[in-house]
Amino acid sequence: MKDLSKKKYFGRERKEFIFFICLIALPLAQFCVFYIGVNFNSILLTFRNYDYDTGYSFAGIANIVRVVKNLFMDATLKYAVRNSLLTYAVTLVVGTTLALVFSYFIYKKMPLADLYRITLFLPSVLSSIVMVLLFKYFCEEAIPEICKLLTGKEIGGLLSSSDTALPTLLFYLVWTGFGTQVLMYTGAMNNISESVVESARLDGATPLREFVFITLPMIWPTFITFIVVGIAGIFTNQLNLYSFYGTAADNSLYTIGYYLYRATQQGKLPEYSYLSAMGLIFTLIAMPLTFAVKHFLERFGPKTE
Amino acid sequence: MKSIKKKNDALVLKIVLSVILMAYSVSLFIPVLWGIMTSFKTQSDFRLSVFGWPEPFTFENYVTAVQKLFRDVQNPYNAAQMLRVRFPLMFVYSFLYAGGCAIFSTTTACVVAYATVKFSKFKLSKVIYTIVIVTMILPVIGNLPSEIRMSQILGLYNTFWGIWIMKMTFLGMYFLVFHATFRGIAKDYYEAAYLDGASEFRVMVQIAFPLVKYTYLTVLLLNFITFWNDYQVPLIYMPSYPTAAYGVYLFNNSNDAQLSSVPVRITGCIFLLTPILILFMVFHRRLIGNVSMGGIKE
Repeated sequence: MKDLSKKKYFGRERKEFIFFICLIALPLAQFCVFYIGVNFNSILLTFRNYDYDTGYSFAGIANIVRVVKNLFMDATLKYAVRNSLLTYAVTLVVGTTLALVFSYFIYKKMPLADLYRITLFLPSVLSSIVMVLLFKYFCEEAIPEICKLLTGKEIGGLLSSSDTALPTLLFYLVWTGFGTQVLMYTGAMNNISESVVESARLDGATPLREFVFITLPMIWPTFITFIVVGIAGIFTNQLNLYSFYGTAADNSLYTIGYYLYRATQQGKLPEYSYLSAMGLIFTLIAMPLTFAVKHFLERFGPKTE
Repeated sequence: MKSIKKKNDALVLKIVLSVILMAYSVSLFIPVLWGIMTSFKTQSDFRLSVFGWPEPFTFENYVTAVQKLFRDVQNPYNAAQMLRVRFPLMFVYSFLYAGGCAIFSTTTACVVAYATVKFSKFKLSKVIYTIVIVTMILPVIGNLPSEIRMSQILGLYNTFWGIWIMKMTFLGMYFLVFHATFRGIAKDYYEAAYLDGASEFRVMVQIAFPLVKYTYLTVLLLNFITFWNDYQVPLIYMPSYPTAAYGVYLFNNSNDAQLSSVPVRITGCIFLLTPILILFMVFHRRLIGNVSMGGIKE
């Protein structure tokens, strides 16, 4: 009897395992090819060179040396690194702070909260190329006109002047970047137990104290996710340069993300190895940084106990 | 006294935030409304008055956009032949690209999340969950050349089914959303079905999936919108199938004299904007419903 039920149990487990494998086989195969395979191939490309006549050949660390040299010599790459870091700093300090404050406002169901939830999410839904172009023409055509009407002064387009282009691009990034963050933060805030909030209120906590000592610790895992994913994206963020300028952005506006996409999009096979080497170097810079920040935030962040 | 001061502080904070959010909302709508108004202006009218009401009110830009927006591409089945893709066909390509990619990526994330939650006793489930977390925080930079080469080698380059396969991934934030949703389903539902003699497949399709259908629909819509708006992937992986977003990008970088006027270019943007705006107006409650996920620390 015991043997029979044991046999039945293992029979069911085997069936479950077969079914489980059937569900995950194809996605895992896709992962193996398009994540592991692609990244492995990217590392291989770093150590190879391509010639239209002779094909691929082993290049040792020549591409890596070239990238490192250019990081110190090439003015465009220096701008790209500076702008990538600046972009992350601005989105972290201004964007994340505002997203948290706005989310708290919506979570507390303050006046017109539902309407603001929609408007904050709207830029994430609308096509980035459309939003970029409408914003671009507004900055280039309408704002100089408004300025002339208000002050009588003639100014150029904000995106074509070297003094105002980078701040305008950073403003645009923050201005349109609240959507997903607000959605996830309000989702996490809505899961906070009402009894915890109520007892804090009875203890006379101000909204600011409630936010710092109750809300923030409770949504801390979601907060860490955005911070860490943001660091992972430092060197892939294009600052919407491709949408604003196509391939013709000024060198002083480059980010690493734009540099890599623009160069890859040109489709020159011999350059792929150099670009892969650059990708590998920036991955090696960003990887420890990401894990260090994650570890730091988890260890020293607010606790819910 | 202290309590009155606290109440006043809270009120001031509320007013300041309300003003900031109101200003933000207005600033968001101004360029869009200005764009819609400009699309009904002639070039000369626009030059005379950047802000004024269209005088005369014209649909000329819409006609020009439909007629003039095209892209000559290489026939994917005959490299020697060129094909002209016009704006309406670009919309069809957009639906195929966005629809296909959204269905494949959403379904994959949903199915794999179900498998890892339902069969969490298998070690592979934990491995898959860890893979998702690690790939989310692991920054991979500059693998685009390698991905292009891989898609060319596998014969997936420049085909719809190729891009659908490439997007059939379970990696990313939406896996965590599905994972959290499936974890919230009580096991009793499944057990009752097993007692009735249901197979694993029936339990998944008839019990589990209907319980997450709203989450699925939300993620599907969000994915559809993302792919609809994306022009950089089609630009690189499907050069013979320009989508509408890609068309708008081309439109704004065109050297054609008739397309160089600002009102015509803005009209191209309005064309692309309209379907998504309608979709958002119809489904905004679903799209911004209570979607939540856990952190990246299990």
